[in-house]
Amino acid sequence: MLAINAPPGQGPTRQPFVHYRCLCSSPGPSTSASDAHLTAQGKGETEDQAEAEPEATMDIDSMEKGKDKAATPTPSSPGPSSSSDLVPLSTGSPSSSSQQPRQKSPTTQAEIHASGNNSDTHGSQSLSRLYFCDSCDEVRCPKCVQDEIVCYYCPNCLFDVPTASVKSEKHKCSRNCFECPICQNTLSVVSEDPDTSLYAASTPATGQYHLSCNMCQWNSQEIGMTFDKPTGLAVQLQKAEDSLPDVKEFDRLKDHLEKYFRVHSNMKPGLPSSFLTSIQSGTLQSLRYVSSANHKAQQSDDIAHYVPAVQVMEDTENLEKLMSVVSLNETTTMKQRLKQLQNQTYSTQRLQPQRIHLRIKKLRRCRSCRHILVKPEQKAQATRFKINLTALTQLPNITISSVQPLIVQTVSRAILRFTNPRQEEAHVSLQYGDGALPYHGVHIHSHSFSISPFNEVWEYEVGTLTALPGTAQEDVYEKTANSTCIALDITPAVAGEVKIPLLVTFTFKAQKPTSDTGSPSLPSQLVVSGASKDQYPTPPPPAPEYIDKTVSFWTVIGFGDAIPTLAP
Amino acid sequence: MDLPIVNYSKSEYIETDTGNKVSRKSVICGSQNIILGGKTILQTGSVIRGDLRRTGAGHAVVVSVGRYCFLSQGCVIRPPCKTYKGVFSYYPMKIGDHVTIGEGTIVQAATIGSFVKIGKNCVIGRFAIIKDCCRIEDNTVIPPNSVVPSFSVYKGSPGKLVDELPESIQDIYEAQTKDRYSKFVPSRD
Repeated sequence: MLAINAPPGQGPTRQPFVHYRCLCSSPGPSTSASDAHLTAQGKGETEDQAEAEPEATMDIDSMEKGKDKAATPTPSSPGPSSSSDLVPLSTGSPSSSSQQPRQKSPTTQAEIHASGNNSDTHGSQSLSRLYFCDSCDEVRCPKCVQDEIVCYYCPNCLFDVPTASVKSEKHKCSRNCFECPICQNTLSVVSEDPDTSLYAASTPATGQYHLSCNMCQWNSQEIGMTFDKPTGLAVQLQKAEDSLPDVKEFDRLKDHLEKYFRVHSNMKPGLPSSFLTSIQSGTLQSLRYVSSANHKAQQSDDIAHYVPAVQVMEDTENLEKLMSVVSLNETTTMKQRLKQLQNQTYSTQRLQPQRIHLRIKKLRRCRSCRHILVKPEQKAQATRFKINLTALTQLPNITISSVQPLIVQTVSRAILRFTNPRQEEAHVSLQYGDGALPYHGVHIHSHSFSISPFNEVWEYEVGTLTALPGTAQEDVYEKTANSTCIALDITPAVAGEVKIPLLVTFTFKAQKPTSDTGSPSLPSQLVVSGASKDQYPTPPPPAPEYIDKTVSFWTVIGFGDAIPTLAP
Repeated sequence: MDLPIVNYSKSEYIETDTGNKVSRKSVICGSQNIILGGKTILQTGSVIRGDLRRTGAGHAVVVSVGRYCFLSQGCVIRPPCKTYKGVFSYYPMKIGDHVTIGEGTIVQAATIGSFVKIGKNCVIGRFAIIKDCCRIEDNTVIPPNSVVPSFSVYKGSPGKLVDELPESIQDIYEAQTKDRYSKFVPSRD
């Protein structure tokens, strides 16, 4: 994920970028003095890290290091800023459901100011990947939201798989979808007689059927796999799959351990079978590991020793086979072996087509207030969202409109465009972070300005868009439809990539929440979407009452490389 | 960065009533079988084969392209074909709205959904189905009969899932295609 989402500024070509910082990536706000100490330490560490690494040579590896380091202090601070991906669902829910809703002290300006005042791009993301929780009024990144599974579907046939049957189907498609054991492409079912159905997925022609790969021309007849019917292939293969040694061994181990788990009902309910099923496709070795680990850990609870029924082939046999290999084409690649975990064969002749793994649709929740940020529709094929609080639709979108070539110790002009996605006018004020390393000279021409609201009518008028008449003339570079451009004068201090931290304070009008304490037990739709509020009878008829909301967040803006001073 | 304004020579492009901008240097075969949704740009050297239609008499839509699509230079749109019950035939192709097809890409898909971005020099195989909100990276080969589900990024040969797109991708692609259309303007002279 890191490699894919790596900020473009880290690559060999330094493209201009605008990244928004989520508070979870920095040490974050804390609630008590002791926490403040902890987080201060954490902050020191990350800053040291940033200092130790010269900006120019910072590569992915060092970013990863920085990430690890930055992530370590967070679990120790029991604040809402827990950034660990691995926090299980169960640990988050009881604290917020059983206790009083956690009174999160509002993040103060000073804390926000201290949290991201550097030009380090680590932990910052482009706006499109972020969310904005409108009950915490904070930016949330994919690491500080909680995912829940909405539905399972097969990425090939796009059929929904009911959650109840997902487990028994081993998280794989139980219809006609198989992937090629050689190139992992999807296989098509073809009839024996190639003339009648060269590319047909299913034909009523009589005769036998087999699987064929459209990419590498692999054919299931090569391994003697043919079918009588062109439908329900997974069911036809079920028998063979059930007799595999790893499946047998797994069932045996499950029987063995479930007896024990049932007796000890103080164990977390639901854990044993779901946990075991999730490792169903593991190797025999891993099963052994589980059994022995359990055995050791629960020795005092007298669990019987587990004797595996299947013996794993010794490596010496494999070794002998591999010694006699003449052509490397006869052996499987690592990828192919890992796709067939049960025997991890070295012989291409023994590779079997695999059923396609299911994919999921995710619902995303804010980790601190448990509000839903993104809720997709239940159907697998639908791309709409019932709730969609992505940052792009709520926060001003900053883009670099133009930038003059940057030369060290020379003033260059850059134009930043702020676009307002909201239906109400918004106000933005900017502050250049003094913690930037190296510290480039930056002069912001307009520190404070307003952006006109987004209006759908403009969508239909292609051409020159100008601001509404009557708006006060401000000292800005340009003001059009729902965006405002401002000018920056940048004086690069040293050659290399120019990245500047910018603190953005965004003030917008929002509908006043019905109750100030906003209990999390309220149906989230009610709180999240203002429109549905009208459907519920509330004591005073809900006249849209607006309050000013102010949100501060850090951005890191990269303007590309500065070239050294030209020869005099 | 903001997209630059692209000026084209007025003599090269034909603008239709619905705002499609079609280069005179593009190759449009069987134009009576092609539907362009409006505000779609066909650049120099792009090819749409509307003449490859299902055997039999009568008028049939072969290629239908939605609104705000962008067919880059040298891309080829060809309806998919197969032999079914001993008869060779071409089958219609449908492309949704806000679709970008990169330079030199060859498309023989059955369906391409809306909000899709296909990179340069890709090959989209016969009867491939690309659902809504997808990205195909440059130089990717999508094999025949394969399916690309929504919110995926596919890359490689054969194309494999390498990443997922964020939930806001629909808004991003919509804004991009609209922005690009509004900045594709004739030069003054």
